[in-house]
Amino acid sequence: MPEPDVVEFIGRHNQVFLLTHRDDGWPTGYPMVGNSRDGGVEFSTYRASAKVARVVREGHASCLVVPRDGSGDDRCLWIAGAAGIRDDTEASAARTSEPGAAGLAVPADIAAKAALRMHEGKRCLMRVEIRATRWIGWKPPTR
Amino acid sequence: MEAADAMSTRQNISMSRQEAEQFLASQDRVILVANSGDGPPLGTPARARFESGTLVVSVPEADPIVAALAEDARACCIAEQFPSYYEIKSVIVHGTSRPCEPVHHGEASFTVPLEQLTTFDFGRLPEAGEVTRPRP
Repeated sequence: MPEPDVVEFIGRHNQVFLLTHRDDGWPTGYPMVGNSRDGGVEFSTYRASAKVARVVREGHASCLVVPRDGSGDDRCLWIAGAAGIRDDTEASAARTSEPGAAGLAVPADIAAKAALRMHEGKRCLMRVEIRATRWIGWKPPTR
Repeated sequence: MEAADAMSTRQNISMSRQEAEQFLASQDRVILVANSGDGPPLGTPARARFESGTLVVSVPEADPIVAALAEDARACCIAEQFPSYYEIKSVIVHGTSRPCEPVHHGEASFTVPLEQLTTFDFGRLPEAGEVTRPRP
């Protein structure tokens, strides 16, 4: 399991950039809403999306978890580990309908639609295990 | 709950090149992403400015991403605003980085040209109009 401060930080901040590689090998990133769960970070996304195919192909991914401006946090967190999708659709649907971490509020109708798509199997939960971490200063120097 | 979801419904929520450049010019920070050997990419926040059609990004010179970009110059820069769901905007730049004169002592700076752009603006979702449209 990751260190308690890592779990606590991810639990408070759901603005997460999922980092992987494009098919041509370029690094790329996706702004996502992430949720801390059982030592990993989980994302709800469309099963047919390019990011799912890329992460499944590679079997690992990294993430940068960043604080919202005004939160008072002065660092962000890079994590990396094994990654893939969860196929326990019923549990995934339940999780998708849960409130997210403090931070971005997803409108109720959007969350309900996402839960329905999860139940239908069109969406899935993608998960990145936390196996490596690095804290990084968040506030850059002034211009 | 991300751009691909919105795009999966075949709604065009992308920005024009001009809008993307205006957005980049309004940002002072991006997420800089680089390859790291056979492992997953590195990512770090970088101070940024956009001038003459090119992003200039700066990170502490000790950041591991500096060595990573020396090995593989392919870079991804993500600029995003995230105040509320329907105000989410993002511009994702892919470009070949080049080291340049550091903006500040103790930093490493790179230019990243806008070779490829991916953009989205959740304010263009039809549902956003229902939320943000002024009531009569």
